[in-house]
Amino acid sequence: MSPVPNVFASSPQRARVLAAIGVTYLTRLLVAAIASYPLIASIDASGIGQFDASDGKLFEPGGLYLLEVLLHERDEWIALVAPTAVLLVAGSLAGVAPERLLLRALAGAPGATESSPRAVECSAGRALPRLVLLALATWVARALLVFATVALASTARSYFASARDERLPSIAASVAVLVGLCGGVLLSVVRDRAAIEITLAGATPLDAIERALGLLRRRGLGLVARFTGWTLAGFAAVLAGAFAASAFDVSTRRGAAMMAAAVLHQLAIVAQIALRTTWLSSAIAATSPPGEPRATERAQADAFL
Amino acid sequence: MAGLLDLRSIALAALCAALVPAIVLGRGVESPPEPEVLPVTEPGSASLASDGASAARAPRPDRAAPVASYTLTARLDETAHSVHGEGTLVWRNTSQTSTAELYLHLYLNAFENAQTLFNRSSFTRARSGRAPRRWGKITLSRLVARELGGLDLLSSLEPHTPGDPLDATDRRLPLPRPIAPGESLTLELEWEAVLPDIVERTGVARDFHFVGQWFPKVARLEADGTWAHFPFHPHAEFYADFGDYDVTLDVPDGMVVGATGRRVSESVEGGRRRLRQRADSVHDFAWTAWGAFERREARVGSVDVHLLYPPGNTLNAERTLAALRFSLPFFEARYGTYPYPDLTVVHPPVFAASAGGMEYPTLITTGGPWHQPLWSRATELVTIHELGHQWFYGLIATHEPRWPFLDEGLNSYAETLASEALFGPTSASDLAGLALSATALHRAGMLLGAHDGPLARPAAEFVDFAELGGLVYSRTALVFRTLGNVYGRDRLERAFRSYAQRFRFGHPTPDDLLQTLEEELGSDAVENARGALFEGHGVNYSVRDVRSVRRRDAVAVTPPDLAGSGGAPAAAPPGRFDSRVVVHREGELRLPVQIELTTAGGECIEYSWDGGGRDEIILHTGAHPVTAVRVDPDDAILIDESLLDNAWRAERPAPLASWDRALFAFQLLLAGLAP
Repeated sequence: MSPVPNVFASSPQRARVLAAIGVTYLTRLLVAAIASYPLIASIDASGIGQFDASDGKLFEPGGLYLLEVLLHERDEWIALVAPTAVLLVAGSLAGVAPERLLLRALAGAPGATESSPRAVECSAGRALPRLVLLALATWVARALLVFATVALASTARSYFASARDERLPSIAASVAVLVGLCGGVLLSVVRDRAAIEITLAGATPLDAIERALGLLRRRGLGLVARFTGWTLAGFAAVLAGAFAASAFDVSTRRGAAMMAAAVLHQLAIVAQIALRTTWLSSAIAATSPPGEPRATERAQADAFL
Repeated sequence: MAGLLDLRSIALAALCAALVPAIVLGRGVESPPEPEVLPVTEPGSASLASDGASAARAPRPDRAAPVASYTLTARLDETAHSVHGEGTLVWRNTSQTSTAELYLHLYLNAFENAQTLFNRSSFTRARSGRAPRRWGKITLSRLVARELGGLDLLSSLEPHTPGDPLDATDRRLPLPRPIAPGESLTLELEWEAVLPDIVERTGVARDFHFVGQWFPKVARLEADGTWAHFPFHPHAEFYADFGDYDVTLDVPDGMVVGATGRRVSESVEGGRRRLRQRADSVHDFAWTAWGAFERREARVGSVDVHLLYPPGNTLNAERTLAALRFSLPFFEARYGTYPYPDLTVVHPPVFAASAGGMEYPTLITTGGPWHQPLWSRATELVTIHELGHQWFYGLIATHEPRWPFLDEGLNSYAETLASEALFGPTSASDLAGLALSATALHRAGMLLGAHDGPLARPAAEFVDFAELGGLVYSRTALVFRTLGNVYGRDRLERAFRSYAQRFRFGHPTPDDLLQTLEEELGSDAVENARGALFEGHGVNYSVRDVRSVRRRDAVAVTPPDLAGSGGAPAAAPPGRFDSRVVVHREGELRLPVQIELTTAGGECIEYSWDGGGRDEIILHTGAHPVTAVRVDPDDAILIDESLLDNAWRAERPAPLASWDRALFAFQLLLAGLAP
């Protein structure tokens, strides 16, 4: 297993990585702000802002006003679902640009560079469309995986449907979901490695996927373990942020509480991005063993250029 | 975190599912707090708590005079899913007139074919949600009247519901001679009941049997000599006289049985188990038999509680029991002692979930999956609701098909009180700071339901179950919560206690309820109650207009007399502000409401409006302009059509709390969607 590279080996390197994390965060924040604006405008127009606690009233214990706004604005919110979904998908696709920036910044770390700087620079123009293509392919694969997982879970549940202990069907379905999650982990690892190949080695999507699969065959356990570890850490950060923020009562519109909740939420997002960055750094470092595959990759990249 | 197609979101959901219960489980199933003790609030009147406490201390006092008593034997055929029954019905004419007929309700015939009233009615959204796939019926084979010379009256029994040849749930039995007031009639009965698959909380699913409405049931003869008989409609429930039940159940050995009443004997012979149940002063008898039930016995106060639940539902059983431990004394303190020694609580298996959420005398059914998350109070809410029916249906046996609001509506009101006394504002759910109350859910149900007709109307007149649910359950509960908030919760509770005492083992009508309410709350409250219940009246308060102007002279201005809009002129120094606030009332109900004005100087002025006119103009003069107005600041009027027009502010801050959460949610969505 390759050691996790030190992405902060030098100050310029550190600055580039931090800048890339910042760009990733700001891109996500911008897209989220644009996507949520119609929803917020609808909440504002509902009249909740006329109350003393303003929209903090939505979060009063009991949820009387939350449900009130939800029901009064439900037609508008239903109408917002489709355009918001399109916006989020587009925003997600736009996210490949900061990700490429992040990967390139990480590749500058000692031991993390996979391809020559010339190869990287010259493939830049083609990398973005290829990353978008990879993203689309990943979504399709995820959709198929979810479908297969649901089918498997449903079959497993129905197999035990006649069991008298009601926990058995649920446990069987949970096992199926766990299998699906394992598939999801493998898919994500392949996808991330393929993105690295596209960004850093200038590979085409198909070649990138092939190389990622090859690497997964050779060093799969380590990659999966690291991906799972860092991703779970990211989930934990998000959950911790959500729960910590929920401890602040914003229902009476206390400025400090509201600010603290917002800061905690945003810290959780930043932490999640940082933890993913660590995983990507680790994935970049997980090159093939010295010798033939690595040389081949270099040759392919140079030939491509 | 992301869309449904994203695996990371599934992982997050799985993690949440693992963490949230773990966090909450850390608390475990908490011991329920003691029921709230209401203080004495008015001189000269005993508090509810003291009444309730003394009632609870009193020996089991009362019983109903038996009118329709049954001695029955029922043998379950577990393969044919049928029940062979025989026995006697002793019926007494308690009306003021003779009757030359009887009406028998054969409810299981509702599931005989697709043409019955039940099945041809629109009930896609009824209680059980679908039509049965396995038909059921009840076939009488013996109907002998002892006091009429042992005559077999079976051939006289009319073949169908009066006026409806396709339905056979409501059958008239002409008698050879009239039965005089006070006279009794004994009918010897024998019948075969074939159970449908679970529908309307009755029937069979696999090897689980829930046996309700399974015997020929005599309708109720009202005091004026009219029969309260009706066909079985999918929106409606039941109505019957009190009596004593002695029922022997014969089931295969290995079946675990739960039934109305107390078990007085049990024996096993020849692979069959025979159980004898006695229940006095009840008006129905239901039972269940399933081999896989697990049992939990407990004592709550002086009541033996028998919990039957499927394997794997131990935590649900504990939650159910915790809810009972709180709500049984809570209801007893308000509505009188639970007069029976036993209460059976049945949690049907998941494949028979539609048998859950039903009430019978001394037997209720609950529900919920084994993995019901602890942040959801669904298990507790349904338990509290069904237990409440032991009063609002069981002891106060109103005509459910004719006046469903009298049982479901009043019981939903009682359910909100009990659940909020137990859980506070998290009485429906409590997840990561998102706390929902049962009252908020009822308000949502009310807003979702149509509101274009009276609440007090027969069940069959509601267009679908969604309308019935929104109006009969939710709106009625909120009408009474509103009356309590506006006219005094203690006074309303005293009225309900008086109603529950007065009509214990009785059959009150809406007029009886309103009369009792009037005695405690006064005529204005009852006028509003009558309008809300019988006329479909509603109300919406709103802030219509607010203006503040700086005075330029020092002469007379409108006084700061906030007791009314028309006071005598008074002098005011220059530089002060005249503020004019208009509060509007829409709708027919005239409920007194509080209004709160806040000035730029931070002064808070409270104002009471009796709700009499269409508009109330409030004039205020002071050093600062009015910058905020709040109508009904305590959210007392829960039937206000819109709460969102009840406030006004001069300056509206940005909705930052919503921004924060929406940004967080969308950022997580993007993280999940990220390729």
